[in-house]
Amino acid sequence: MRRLVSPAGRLQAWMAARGVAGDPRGAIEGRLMELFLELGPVLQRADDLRRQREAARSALGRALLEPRAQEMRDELEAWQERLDGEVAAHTAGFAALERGEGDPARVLRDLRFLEKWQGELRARFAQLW
Amino acid sequence: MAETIVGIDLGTTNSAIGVVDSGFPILLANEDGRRVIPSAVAYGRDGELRVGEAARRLRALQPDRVVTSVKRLMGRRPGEVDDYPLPLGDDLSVLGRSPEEVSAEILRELRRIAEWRLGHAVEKAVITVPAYFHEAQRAATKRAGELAGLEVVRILNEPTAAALAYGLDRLDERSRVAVYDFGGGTFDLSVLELAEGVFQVLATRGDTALGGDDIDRALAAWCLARDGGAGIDPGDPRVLEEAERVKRVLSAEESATFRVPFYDGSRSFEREVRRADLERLAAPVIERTIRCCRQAMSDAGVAPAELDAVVLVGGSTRIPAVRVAVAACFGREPDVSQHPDEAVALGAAIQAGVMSGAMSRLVLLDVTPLSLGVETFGGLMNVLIPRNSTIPCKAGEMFTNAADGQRGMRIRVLQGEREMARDNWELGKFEVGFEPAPKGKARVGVQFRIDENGMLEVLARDTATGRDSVLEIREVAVAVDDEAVEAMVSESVEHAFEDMAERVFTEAKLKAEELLPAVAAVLEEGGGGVAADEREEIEAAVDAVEAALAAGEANRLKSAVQVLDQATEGVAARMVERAMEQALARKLEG
Repeated sequence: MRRLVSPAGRLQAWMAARGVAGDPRGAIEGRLMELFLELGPVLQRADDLRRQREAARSALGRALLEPRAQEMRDELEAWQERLDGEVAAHTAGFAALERGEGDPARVLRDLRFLEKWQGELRARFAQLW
Repeated sequence: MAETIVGIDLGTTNSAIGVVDSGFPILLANEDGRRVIPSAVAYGRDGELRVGEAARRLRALQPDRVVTSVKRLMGRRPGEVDDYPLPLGDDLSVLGRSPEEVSAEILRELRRIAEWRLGHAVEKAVITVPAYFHEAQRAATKRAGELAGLEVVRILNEPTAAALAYGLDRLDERSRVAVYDFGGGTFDLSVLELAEGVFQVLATRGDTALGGDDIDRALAAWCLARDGGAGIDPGDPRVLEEAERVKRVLSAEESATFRVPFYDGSRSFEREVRRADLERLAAPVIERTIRCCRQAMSDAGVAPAELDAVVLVGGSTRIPAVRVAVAACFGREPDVSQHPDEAVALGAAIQAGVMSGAMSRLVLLDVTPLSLGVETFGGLMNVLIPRNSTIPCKAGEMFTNAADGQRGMRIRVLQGEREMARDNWELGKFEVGFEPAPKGKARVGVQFRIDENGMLEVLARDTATGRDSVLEIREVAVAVDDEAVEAMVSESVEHAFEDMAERVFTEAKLKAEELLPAVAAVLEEGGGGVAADEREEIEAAVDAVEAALAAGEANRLKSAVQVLDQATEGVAARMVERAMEQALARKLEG
């Protein structure tokens, strides 16, 4: 059940059912790679902020960091929306794949990466509350 | 045929070598049929080198040419040894040789005996050391082995070796054993658990400078204190040898005669000693061992009733008063089934046999005798590997820069049980450089790794560049004061309250250093809409914190900081609220 909720899981199940072969490892779309290069430093900044909040010893010390925490949450939310949009765009292409257009393995790899980064974002977001 | 690895007990007073033969551990006897040889090396006036019994015999004629108890010098620093019977060089050399070189002669002799008995070359060895030997002492022992042409494949704790010897025929039982190892120069008490072939040391305590030699010295000094003995040097090797002989006799007899014949060429000295005299003189030394026993039991979290046996090893356990004291401490008769002088070597042979494949596999787990850590903000000791951790082991932690623009971090590697870094021993230090970064941005990962020989490797990694700095403690001149070993362990409890007070002060000070500038900024900017009465309360709390800081009183500062924290809670809550409102407004605008 959990597997099918995930778009990558659905695609993988479809490929297995149809006997579509494809290397699960390999290159992803160049545009997504650029996206991740942009996202990496954001996650690092979120980690820095989390560490500073954890190190703060007083309520006032934590309160002084709150404006930055709010901004960071906004930034993470914006990124979540952006990745959700990417996942939705890839999912929208499933119909084409069923018609035999495009490379399912490549889409599967893209989706797996997107889901992985979605998970990373969710974790950072949760840590800032 | 399995490769031969020998097991060696390199003792303060005696040494022995063993091997597993046809599945059984045995000790190898020399040409005289002796399985244990004195740890004595003679550099005779005739230029001849003698080791073992021959060297010990020469001590009566040429006491200034015979080195004994060299184990006490191993890995020590100048100034740490003040009661050695021979003159020592500035570098602790004795008769112009380093302690490692002298020990290597004993190991060479043992190796010779083994090769003669086995009929083939011996190149690898397991060597035992007291559990309380620190890194430098273990490294020195390893170097001695290498000088003797041996590859030291394992440094094994002596009580662990004794437990191996004891546990061989009891492996099908699950049992907890305390090993009381009281040798010539060192004492250890270890609590071990044996189950299904796995040996685990639960706790260990000891003293690297406490042994039968101390009793010999006390006995010699007492005997010479009257009856015309004032002119005789109680530290003279012949006198100490006589004291040791008398001590041995008194383990079986009620009285003995202490004799120093022709001590000035014509006069002789004699004094009758009763067993009760020896027991009275030995009592303070024995009491120190009993204190270690209680501490180790407490560390292991084991009650005496939960022990299956208390095993005695080491020559000094022949003293009846020792057996009585141990029985009283543990509430049971100690197990004397092991040969006091042979058990450790036998255990070393077993371990060697396991490693060479000559015996079926046993898993052996040792523990760290003291906590290891680094200094952190405020001069506090930050423990990475707690005392009594099973080795081999590794642990790590991430550290950040404390100040803006900081270009590097000094990693001070510490060993000890005290709360403040300065009260522990510095094993080494090094600098880790990184690009200047704002406070809290630069990150350095520090990892401690202790191998199966108890050697420590410290790795520091700048996470931005991935650049590693590595410190191997075995190569560092360890800044450890051995006299402080006992003080460190046995007095850590005594210092607990004052240490804790200092820790409380340091932590409260760190919190004050964070709060004071934050409060000043908030009051100046008027952030959080501070009301007049609130401002008054906060300012009073700030004054109290500053006064407590100046007074240096831990509990007062902690309370004052708590009051300030509480006084600013309302402001803090309003600041958080405002930040959330601003975030919401941004969203609505967007």
